[in-house]
Amino acid sequence: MKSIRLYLIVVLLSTICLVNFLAALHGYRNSMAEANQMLDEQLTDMVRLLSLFADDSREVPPNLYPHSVLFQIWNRDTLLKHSPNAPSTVSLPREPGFHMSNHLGVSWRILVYLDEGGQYMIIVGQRADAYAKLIEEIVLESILPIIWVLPILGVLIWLIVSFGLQPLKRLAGLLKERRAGDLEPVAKEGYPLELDIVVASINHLLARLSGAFDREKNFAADAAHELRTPLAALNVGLHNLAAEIDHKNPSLLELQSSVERMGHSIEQIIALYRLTPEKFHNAMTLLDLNTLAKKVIVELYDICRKKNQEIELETEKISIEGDDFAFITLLRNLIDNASKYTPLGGKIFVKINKDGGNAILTVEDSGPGISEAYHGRVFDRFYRVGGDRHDSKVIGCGLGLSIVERIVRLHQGRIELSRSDTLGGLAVRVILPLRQDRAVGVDL
Amino acid sequence: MLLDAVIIVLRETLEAGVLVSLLLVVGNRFRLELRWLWYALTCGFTGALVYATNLGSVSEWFGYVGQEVVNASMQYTIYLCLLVICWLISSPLRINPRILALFLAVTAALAFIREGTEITVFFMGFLHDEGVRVKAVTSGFIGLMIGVSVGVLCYYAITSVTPRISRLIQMVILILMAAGMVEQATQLLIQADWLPATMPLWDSNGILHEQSLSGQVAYAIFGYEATPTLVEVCFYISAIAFIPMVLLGFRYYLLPVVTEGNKL
Repeated sequence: MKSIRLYLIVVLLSTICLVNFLAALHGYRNSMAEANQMLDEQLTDMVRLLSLFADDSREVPPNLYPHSVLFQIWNRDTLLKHSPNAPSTVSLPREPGFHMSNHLGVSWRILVYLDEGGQYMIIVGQRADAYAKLIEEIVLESILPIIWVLPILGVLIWLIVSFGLQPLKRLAGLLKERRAGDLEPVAKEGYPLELDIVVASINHLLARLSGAFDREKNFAADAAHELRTPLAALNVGLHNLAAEIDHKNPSLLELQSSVERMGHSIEQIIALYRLTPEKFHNAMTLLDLNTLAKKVIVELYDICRKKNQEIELETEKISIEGDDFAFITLLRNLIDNASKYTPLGGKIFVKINKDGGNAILTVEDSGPGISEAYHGRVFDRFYRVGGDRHDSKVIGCGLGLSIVERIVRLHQGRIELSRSDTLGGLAVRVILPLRQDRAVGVDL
Repeated sequence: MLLDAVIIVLRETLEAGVLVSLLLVVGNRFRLELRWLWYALTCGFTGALVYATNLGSVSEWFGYVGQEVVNASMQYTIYLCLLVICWLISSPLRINPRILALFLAVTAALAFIREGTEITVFFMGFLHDEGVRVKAVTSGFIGLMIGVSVGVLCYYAITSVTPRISRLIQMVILILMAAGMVEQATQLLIQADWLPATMPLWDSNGILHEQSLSGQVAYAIFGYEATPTLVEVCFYISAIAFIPMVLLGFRYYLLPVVTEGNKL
């Protein structure tokens, strides 16, 4: 069944048609049977009347029988009397009882009567189509309104079915419009008995899903928090070890790199957790993008300087409504990523400009870029192009762009990846509306 | 006249209605688009109109039994198409949906041509008689609506049961309808004196009258005939037995050879 509405309309209309027309046919058959019975009784009466004239020399007065009736009165094989429309030959049935016979091109109901002595035979006939025609006209008159009313009935059924399906449509609309992250229970009120159980089941499922999500989120965040303390101790131990042994020892360098990578991953997981809709403070303030960008570049300048990278900022004075922490994280991730994947002596270009009602933040680099085939996947959590065999040799956990994308969505913007026309590497373009509709929720 | 007209139209539309509803169920099962039905409807109604207007000359073929022979040929073709459809839907091999759609369309189109011609010829007789035109059209409409309604209810009845039972019902009704086609075609060839006419083996009108609605439904589903001759019974039983034999033969003798060949 593809559609409940279509099913109900078609099945109801078909059933109504079938029942009505079968009832009409049944009525027609019954009427015909009754008409035939009446006809037979009329013929029997005629026979009784004509029997009075059988052994009489008088002619049957024409006013005694209608013109649609024929008769013959036989004395054995001699025809004594007959109506003008009856044949004067033996062409009508002669077996006693009722018969159907054709005469003068029409169908006749014939009654053959033989008296007790077997001397006189009276044959009376009446046109069978006279009653049939009348009954057909009566039945037709009763059927035609059913036919005319069918389209109206169809429209009425359509309206009634649509009205009956309203609660289901309402529930479907409610679920369809619901944001992906919204696990609040559906309001139970206003649904018929049949949908109550569906709503209860949905709410039960949503509650279980919400619990599972919370446990999963809290687990990752709690684990990250718990790892911070031993990581700090590990860093102190490493620092001491570096003082005790040769600080260029390959094993020590490998260990330092791994610890640094672990620390980065932990910080990114905590950042990701802070940016979930439930934890996102949504403390929207008016932010100066220009100042924020400068602040982040200053923070990361040392990293760029170590790689002899040139970083340029071109900006307009733009204020945007947003969360301070989120925007700093966004800028840091984008610029840090650009620096990581840009080779020694490369270039990074950051531009902030206004385009209509949007603020555009562009970060371009002269690194290898990302093949277009991977553009859809790089926003997935823990996804790195090439996986563990990433050939850049840079520290990363595959959460940077995922965090950026989440921040952009939290601020109702969008993000585009392309190849930089000027520097040849990756160009990340973040488009953010300058005025944000606070009523609009966040789909994550 | 009213009842006769209803019975004539009902007899034709009921059979086409049940057959098309069954073909639609098969089409839905294999997720075919409805395009095949539109093609069948277009070809069927055009074919019916052409056939009905040329019925006079067709009747003169084969020594004035052309109509019977052509109708019988169409029914035998429908039988063969239904045989192929049964094979396609029960085959464990992956079937080409286009081939299935083609056979569904040909079967439905032939059914429309055959039934449509009978109805067209019947109504063409009343076209110039104003006195009975309304009566004939009304009777035709009643017959048509009963046939269509039964078809629609059949469709939803078959689709409302579990897939396993639905598949079983589809197969059984397809085989019975196919055999019914053979039985009707055989009757026509007996009328044309191409097959020997013998005395009826029995008369079951007392149990189920051919002209009653149940009799018409039985006629539409499995070609019910109250007074069948020996030849009709033989053809009917052979037609029923032939389809399962072909399907089983394919499954147990040909399929192992085909799959073995594919492995090589």
